[in-house]
Amino acid sequence: MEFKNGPELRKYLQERFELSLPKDVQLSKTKKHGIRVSLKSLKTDRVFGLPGFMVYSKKTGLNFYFFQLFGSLAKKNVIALDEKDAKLYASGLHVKKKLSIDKGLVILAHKGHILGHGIYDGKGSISCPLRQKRRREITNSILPWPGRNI
Amino acid sequence: MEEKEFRDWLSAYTDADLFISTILHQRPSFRVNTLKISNETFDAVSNLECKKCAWYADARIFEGKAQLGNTFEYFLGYIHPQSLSSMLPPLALAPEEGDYVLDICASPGSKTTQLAALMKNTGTLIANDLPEREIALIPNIARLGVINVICTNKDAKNYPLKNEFKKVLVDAPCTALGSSLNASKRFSVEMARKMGEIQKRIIANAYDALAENGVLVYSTCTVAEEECEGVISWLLENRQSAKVEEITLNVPHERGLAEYGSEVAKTWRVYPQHLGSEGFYLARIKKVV
Repeated sequence: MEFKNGPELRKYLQERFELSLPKDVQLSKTKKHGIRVSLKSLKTDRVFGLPGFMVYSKKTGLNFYFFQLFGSLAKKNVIALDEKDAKLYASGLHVKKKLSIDKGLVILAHKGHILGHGIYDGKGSISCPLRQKRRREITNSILPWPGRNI
Repeated sequence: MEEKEFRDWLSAYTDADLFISTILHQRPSFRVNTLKISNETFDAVSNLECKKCAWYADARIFEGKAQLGNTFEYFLGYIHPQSLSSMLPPLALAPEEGDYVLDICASPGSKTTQLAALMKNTGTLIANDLPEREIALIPNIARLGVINVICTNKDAKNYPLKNEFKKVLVDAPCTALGSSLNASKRFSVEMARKMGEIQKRIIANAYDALAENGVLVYSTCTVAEEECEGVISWLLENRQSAKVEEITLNVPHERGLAEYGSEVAKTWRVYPQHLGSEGFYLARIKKVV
């Protein structure tokens, strides 16, 4: 899956997840640092640098922190994981789960907390895109996010 | 310095035994990242054993045994491990929603991300540091969901923008004597003097980047006066419009060394024993035009 620019990624998010970003948030393409998410109103007239953080690059794919931040706005293809599977995901392992959806990206949640995104293979397995350094062997539990039914 | 020599040197400032024993037994702490979760919701979902901090609603003193990095709260970006005293400089700067702020020595980003939280992800926050130091900053910005930031790579000693920012944070590189006892082994007064010269160049550039009536907070995690009061005293001599302001936080501290005069005495020394945390020095300066 490749995205050439911000509008293309925005369109994909809408189609796949019915996810509309807040109006004051922009996705902008940079020459060497992929597509980045930032506030639209940043004062950029005299400062030259990298806005926000990288959401997508050809090399690293989509960034799971982006989904942690905005995933709660998605209206479809959000998959709830139990604690065991949430911990498997965080540790970088595949999660076995048969879903009645097309293969492709899914947003993963646990007790209403948005964990990030995964890649569903259409055959019962969700792979974890987390880079080695970002993986965690989680040792505790968390309580449900009040009023969030994902 | 050898341990005995360091104790003698430190005794000129504070109770050296208490300082050292507190550094050795610092209590772990973290900050609730209000860009991703409110304090109220955090308290409703988290089982982490921790105590609230009397002077900052977002701070928690961790009393559990788990590795904070291996908790759901960390993975989800709800918390950021950070010493209590390192939360003071952003609080002293007190940025507000919509502000235009420069963090001139931003990496690894604990204070940068705290500034963003205080600004509620609005306005513009410039996170500046050298390219080789940025590697620690970028993952924290993403994990904690900061989107009101622009990362730049200017040398803080030659920062190019003048009269630009409403608020500037200078968390200067220092000898780090307030953070770890290992730092004392490398330390010498000559090293503090050299560091002080670098810090003077940084604070001068940072001060010049301030807009009229802008506010700058200078901080270090050390106690050597050459890097603390000496730097502020030099700034006051070399920038006539610079005035030291009182820091109004309700936090235990000592005032700056009296021998530098009454203006510099408004600055703060926070020793490890004050908060059970790192030692810090803080000064709040206004550009009065």
